[in-house]
Amino acid sequence: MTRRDPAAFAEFVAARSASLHRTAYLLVGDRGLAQDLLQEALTKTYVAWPRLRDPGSAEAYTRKALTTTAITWYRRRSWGERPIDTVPDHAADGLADDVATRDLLWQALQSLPPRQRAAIVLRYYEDLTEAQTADVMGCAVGTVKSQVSAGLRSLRTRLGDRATDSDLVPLDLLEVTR
Amino acid sequence: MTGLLTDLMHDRADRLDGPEVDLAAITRDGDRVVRRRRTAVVGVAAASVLAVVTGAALFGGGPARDTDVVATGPIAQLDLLSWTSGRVLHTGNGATVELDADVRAWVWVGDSVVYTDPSGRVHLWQGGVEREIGTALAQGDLAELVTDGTFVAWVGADHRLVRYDVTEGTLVRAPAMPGDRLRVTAIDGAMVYAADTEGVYAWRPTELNSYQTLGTDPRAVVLDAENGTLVRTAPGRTVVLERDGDTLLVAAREFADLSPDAGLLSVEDKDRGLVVDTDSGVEVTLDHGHEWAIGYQWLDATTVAVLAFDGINEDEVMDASLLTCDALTGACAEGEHLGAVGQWQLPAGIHLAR
Repeated sequence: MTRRDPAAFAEFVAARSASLHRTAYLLVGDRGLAQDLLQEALTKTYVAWPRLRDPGSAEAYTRKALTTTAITWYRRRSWGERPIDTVPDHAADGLADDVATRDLLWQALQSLPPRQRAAIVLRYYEDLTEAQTADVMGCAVGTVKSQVSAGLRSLRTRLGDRATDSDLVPLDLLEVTR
Repeated sequence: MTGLLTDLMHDRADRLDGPEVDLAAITRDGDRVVRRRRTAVVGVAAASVLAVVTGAALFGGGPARDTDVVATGPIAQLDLLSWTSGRVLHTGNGATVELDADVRAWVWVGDSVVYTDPSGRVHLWQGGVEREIGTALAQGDLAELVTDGTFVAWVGADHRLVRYDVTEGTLVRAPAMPGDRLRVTAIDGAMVYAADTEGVYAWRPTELNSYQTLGTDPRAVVLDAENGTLVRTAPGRTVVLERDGDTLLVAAREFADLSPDAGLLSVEDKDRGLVVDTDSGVEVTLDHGHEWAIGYQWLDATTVAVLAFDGINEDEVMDASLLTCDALTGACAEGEHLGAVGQWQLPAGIHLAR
């Protein structure tokens, strides 16, 4: 991977774009935007391709590009129209409370500030350690801790008595991981 | 137990269809970035590049440019930069007007001002006299007020479109539309464009009880309309211009502003403020000298007011400036330094929050 080899890049895209797309979706909460975000992050990866020594590095680079681009998009995106992407849950009556709780949690996740949301996605979806999350976000481990803590606090507040702390995130995952 | 949060994220992510990655666009855009970096190293800047064009033909033979400046009034000099701070309206020549309430979002409508306040009241300031003309729903950071210079439209508190004729002082309400999160997106004289969760609509206020559904894809929103030219959003960081059956695709984010005669389109792509000639497809990059910029208001047929930011990738507050740029050459002149977002509002109908 020492030169910008289109075939090798295409192979990387074919292999990893579905997984990266899922992360992009969680970072921005909108299918169309996730598609755009992935496209932009892959473009950055393509530019950096000669410096990336192996597919693992390329994936890590793309994930970092997804995260930092999503965060800066929010700063830019206080301007302009935004496509709607509503994916309502439907369920039988017996499951209505559970569905409502999950919808509420999803909405609460969407409304978090971008850094808090990115930190939570990286920690609890990507299952990265705090140090790995800090590396992806380009910040200190302490910043990750504070962003995750603030984000979880907001989510708990939004859920009210619908879920306990341990329902939201298992206590073992709240322990420090480095 | 995986935890509700982790479980929810996996559940929602797993519902996604596979992505449609445009590999050709990635390599084209990536190669362009590489070329630009190399070009920058040797000190040569490309003044303009061609827009991405698809469809049968570029637009041609459009209407003649109207070089008339919009009418001026007691305070309004619409060829000047203007902004509000709290309840004070400023223009670039130093004139100020104190309005009755703090301004949340505002527009020039001819030489009158229509604005929303934090309580959702819609105010009309006209010739030094101010009165309330309705109530509007807050729209987050989307447009709350849209205007074509004669009419102004918004979504009323009853979740129905409203069009107000500033000249006649008449107000018309649209029939209810089927979805949620209705917002008005554009207006072109006799037609008001809107979108909600169920689709995209065109409403002609002369037909009180009907509206046209332009499509059920809520992503194809009409961003602007002038002289029969429509600008719609499209997937893949693209806006689509439609005129007389021809289409022009322009790489852009979610904002686009047609010049009064629809001959030019102001957009932003990859942090660059651009103006696209809708006849030829030629893009001119605005030479604004800031990290990010977008032309948000046409001051005349070829001059665009530009909002520029610095510090956009930092944790610090973004620092904003206003400029005026010549859309034909891309040359810009510094106008006003506004400072942090949230302390001022621009005549674009959008509330810019901190």
